[in-house]
Amino acid sequence: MSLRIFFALCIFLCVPFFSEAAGAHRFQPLKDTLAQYRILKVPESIDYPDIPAVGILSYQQYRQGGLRHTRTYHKIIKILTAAGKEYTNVRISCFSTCRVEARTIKSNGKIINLPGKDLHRTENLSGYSSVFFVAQFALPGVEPGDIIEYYATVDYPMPFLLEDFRFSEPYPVMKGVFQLSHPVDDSYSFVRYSSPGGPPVKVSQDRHTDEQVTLNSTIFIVDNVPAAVVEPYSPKARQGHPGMRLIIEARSGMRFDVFKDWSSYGQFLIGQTTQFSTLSADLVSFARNASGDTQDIREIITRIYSSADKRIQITDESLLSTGFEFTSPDKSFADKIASPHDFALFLAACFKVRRWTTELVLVNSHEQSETSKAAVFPPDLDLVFLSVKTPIGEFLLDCSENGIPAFHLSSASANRFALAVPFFAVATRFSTVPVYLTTLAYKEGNRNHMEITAVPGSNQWDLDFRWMLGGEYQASFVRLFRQKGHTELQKALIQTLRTRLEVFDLKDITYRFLKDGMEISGKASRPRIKIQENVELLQNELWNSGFEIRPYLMENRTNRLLLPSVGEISTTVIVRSKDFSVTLPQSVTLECAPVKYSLSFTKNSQEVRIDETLTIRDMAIDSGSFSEFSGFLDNYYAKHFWALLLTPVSAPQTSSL
Amino acid sequence: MKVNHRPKSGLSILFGFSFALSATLFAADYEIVEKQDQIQVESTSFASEHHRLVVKILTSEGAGYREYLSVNSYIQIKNIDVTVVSSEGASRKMKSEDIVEVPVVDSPDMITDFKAIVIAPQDLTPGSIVRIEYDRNVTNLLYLDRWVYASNVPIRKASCSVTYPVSMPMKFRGEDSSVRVQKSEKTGVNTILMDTANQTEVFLRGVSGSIGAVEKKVVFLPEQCMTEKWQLSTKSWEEVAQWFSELTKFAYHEDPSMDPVVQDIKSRYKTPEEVADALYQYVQKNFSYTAIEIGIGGYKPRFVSQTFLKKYGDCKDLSFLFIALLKKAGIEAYPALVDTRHSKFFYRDFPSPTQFNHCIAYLPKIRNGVWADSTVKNFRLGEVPAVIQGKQALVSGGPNTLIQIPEDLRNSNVMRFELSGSFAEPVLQMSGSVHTLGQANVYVDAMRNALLKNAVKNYVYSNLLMPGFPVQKLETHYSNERELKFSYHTPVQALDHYRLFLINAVSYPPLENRAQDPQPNEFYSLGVPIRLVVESTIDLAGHVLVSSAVSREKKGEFVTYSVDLREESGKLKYLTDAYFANGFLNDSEMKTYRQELEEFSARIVRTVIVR
Repeated sequence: MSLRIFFALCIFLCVPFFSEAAGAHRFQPLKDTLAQYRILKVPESIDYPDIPAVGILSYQQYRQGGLRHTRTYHKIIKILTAAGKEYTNVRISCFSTCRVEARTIKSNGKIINLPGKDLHRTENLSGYSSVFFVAQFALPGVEPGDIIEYYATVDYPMPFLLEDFRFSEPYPVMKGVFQLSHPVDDSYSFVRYSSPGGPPVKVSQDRHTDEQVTLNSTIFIVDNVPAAVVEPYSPKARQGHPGMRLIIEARSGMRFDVFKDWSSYGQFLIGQTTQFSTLSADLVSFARNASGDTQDIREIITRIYSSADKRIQITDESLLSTGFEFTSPDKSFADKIASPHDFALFLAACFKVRRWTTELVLVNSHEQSETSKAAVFPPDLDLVFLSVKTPIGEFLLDCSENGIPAFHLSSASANRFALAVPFFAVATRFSTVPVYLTTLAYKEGNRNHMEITAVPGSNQWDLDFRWMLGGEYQASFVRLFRQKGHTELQKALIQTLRTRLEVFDLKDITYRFLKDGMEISGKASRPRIKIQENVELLQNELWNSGFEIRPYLMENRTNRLLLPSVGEISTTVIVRSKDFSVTLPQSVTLECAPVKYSLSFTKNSQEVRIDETLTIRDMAIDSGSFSEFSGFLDNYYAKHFWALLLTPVSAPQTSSL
Repeated sequence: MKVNHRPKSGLSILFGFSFALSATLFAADYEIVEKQDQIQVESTSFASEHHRLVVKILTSEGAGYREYLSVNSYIQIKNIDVTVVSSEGASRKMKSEDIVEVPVVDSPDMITDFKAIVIAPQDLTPGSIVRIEYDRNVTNLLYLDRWVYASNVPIRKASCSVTYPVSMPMKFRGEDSSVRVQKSEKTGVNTILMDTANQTEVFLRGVSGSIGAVEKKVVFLPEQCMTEKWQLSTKSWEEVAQWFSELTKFAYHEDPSMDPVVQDIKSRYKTPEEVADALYQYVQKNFSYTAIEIGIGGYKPRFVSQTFLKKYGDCKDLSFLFIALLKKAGIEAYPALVDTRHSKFFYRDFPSPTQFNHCIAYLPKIRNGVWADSTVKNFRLGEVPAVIQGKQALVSGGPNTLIQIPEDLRNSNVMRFELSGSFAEPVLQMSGSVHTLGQANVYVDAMRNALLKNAVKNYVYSNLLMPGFPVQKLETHYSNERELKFSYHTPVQALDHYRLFLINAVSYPPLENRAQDPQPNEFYSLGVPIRLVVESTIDLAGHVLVSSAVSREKKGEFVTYSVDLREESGKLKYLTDAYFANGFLNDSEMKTYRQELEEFSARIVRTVIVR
């Protein structure tokens, strides 16, 4: 099996699957199990009002053995309400042998075992290879007040290497237990997580003999784990819940230096790429043609990056899913398709033609920089950049997806930890991606600016608009244009503009791609609203900024809030108002780091100008700021809703009313 | 289970699965250069098929082309042969070990024996040609492959031949004038040949439905076939109903513990209607939806005694349990098969069980006939989910024929907002309730779950109220099983002597369809009809209404509304009653719908001015 397939399978197996009824295990009386885990009380619904179910015990054991490992799951759940029956349908994925036993313990103590015929396993039907099977069952006769218990053992056809384990379930858990057992000449490192004020993860270790093999066991225990409820605009629900990160250190006495520290991991990656240092004539020719005859270094980088971006489709394969294998730049060039890290390697090869050195910069978008250094965990490094070192300085290029302008840093990378790995070289260094908004001009960043000029017509306001998009805001349109061409892009623009401007009729829509973004322009109209004979109203209720984070998102929240992007969203409205006397609202500026909002109204004899800007400097809002941020949002939505009163200058003024 | 998550029959899983997957690519990312399907019906329970497909990759996105072939205990796939020809002309065969069989993972409450064979050729680039050939055998003729000749990718050339013994008459349905059909007979074997060319893509947009509903296809079925040991005649609906009766006649196997349930309800309720309603509530509250559809289990319910003891079941299981309880109470009831897809796709002249994907109960003697769906939650007897209203239902037993379920879509899915407001400058305080009827009940029911309370608030904020509107300090409270209480503040803007504020913050999801420009061959699946009523009374605290009073009504083909705004004894009275006849629309219907939405959008009153 190639490393690529091996690691792809690894990722698949990291998903907590469980399936095959009956086996050697036999349930012991519930009270004995509870006593074994020191669970003193079976909860009642009064203890968890309106909660559908509570986990009494969630036990998992991973037992490493040679080239395989076995996972054992033992769950005891009390169903408290009818909605809790959702948790009585269980699906378990297995690979070769796996054993399942399940039962319902009625509130009167009667036990209903899951009959073997009610455990459904998807057998191989076609003769073509089946990587995995699914076993499913529904626990019988469950009513609110009953307890369900199941026990499953799944054999995995590979050693256990690493996992970011969390104890939480979609319901609260009274006792979470995880046991890692392995032969004494294997070892694992671990880092524990618990949220501030949350339950701690207790750990103990012992050594015992099982089937004549001496095993080391590390046992992690957590009490009262809160439910992991999906929250919008958030990292994964389980993130931030108690758990631990486990990484293999040694197997059969052989140490795995790869995951010892970040430097070792970087060295490992260097080793993966050195074989590609020789470039083909085709690739050299591509790089030379792409840069053309300019001597401007910045322009050369832009041209090569842009040509590569147009030629090669970037997939979303991660470095782990490709088994840490890189594809040669020549193959990426020929296939016109590459993963982000292969695209970075391809670009590095192009810049090697210029004798510029390059680094693969892998960024952790999940955590702030310092915490990321605590433990090596390659899946965390999910964004890929290339750093190009030239005689005039260092430039970063985003390799994570197509359609991003040169030198743009994505929202998720701002202020995040990064690991820089020299391509075709021997050293590794750490870095922190510079704070995006302080180092790059808006034109090179995420910019979403709409300019609308409103001219009064007979019954309507004629709107002329110009919409400028930079960075990530334009990326999806660029990709669509490349893949589908003009017609599909035109359709998408019309749909988006209708939502943004909240209008039906749009005409003369044109677009052009500029060096630092995309510009769309066109015309639309909205009816004039007369509220009295000589008074009319112009309001922005229908000009949608696209920013929809609401104050309630901060209530009872356990996870960080992730704003959709960093950058700037702005609108300028110019109202041709020479025939009107206009009453203006007050200008306003609101700020709550990392977000700032300003709204200003100015007028002269010809026009009224409304400038509205929302600036976001970091995607993450941490829990300590939720209350303050909620207040900011309340103010923002109140002020964002503005209106102008217009009175024809020939008519009596409003003050006389 | 839920109204918006219909239980499916075996065949609909097959179709829904394959189409859902093929729909993941854009239409123009690849095209079918040629497809040939040969179907040979050999007996009333066996057919062998040979399929050939030539696909051309058109864009880099098309490099992700996959073909999924469904298999289950009735469908065998073998001899898959895949050849990839690169854009430079190099040809290579795909290794059989690179073709894999994977479980079909639908939803956690669905247990099925369907699996998928995945053909995923590697290293495809624009210009690559993929040739796939395989044999398919079916041991139940309900699983005969339909012939798709226009789908969400262009099909340049397609042909299909069906051969069958003259002793086994075959019917087919679905072809249009673009398909050439030839029939012939030779030595006791009939052959139907069909072919067509240059079929453009069919598009499906919207919130629900699968491309399988709108693609052009021919379905085949013999007039007689065996479904395991049950003989099916498809000559008439009555015979299909008779088949279902035979298939299910042992399902009424009861458990003695059912008796006390019925006795208890009968002792507390007097009339048959009250008893039936109480039994309906009992089934909804005590049984959960879990579908175990393996083999004939896609059509055949389990014993009601098993369902009763296990406390779960699919639409057939729960309907048969309900019917058994009703019968015990002396109330006449029958199972009825129905299709939750749009009635446009129902062939009344093609009797077949494959046209149905759902099972409900019919109570002929209650209120001149009542229909009950036992998979819903929080419904009362007589309330019928919108997805089955107006549909043809095949009642098995009793009348034993097709009957149309009555339709009252205007009142099937309603949200009524009743609000009162008072000034406390600089804000207007609004409070009131939202009453729900139909599908909307689900969200109110969910308020009981403490873990979902934020999710429901999220739902109110993001779906019931217009995003971007100045709604502050929103609070939602569970009031009763069909009502949420809620309150919010909205700012009052002062402009000279005037005061401007929001009176209608409710979101009208159909207005989002303004973004659609209907194109030929496009279909729109817009979900169930919905009616939104907003009724507000605001104490003006001495202010006078400046905005013009409004009183408008319009009855359109798809949008019917009335708007009324006036000042009455120092109070602002506002009412908007809007009904959107969502459903499955073609492009010309969508154009009309859009025009009506545009007009409604211009007429609706969102803000008012007072001084």
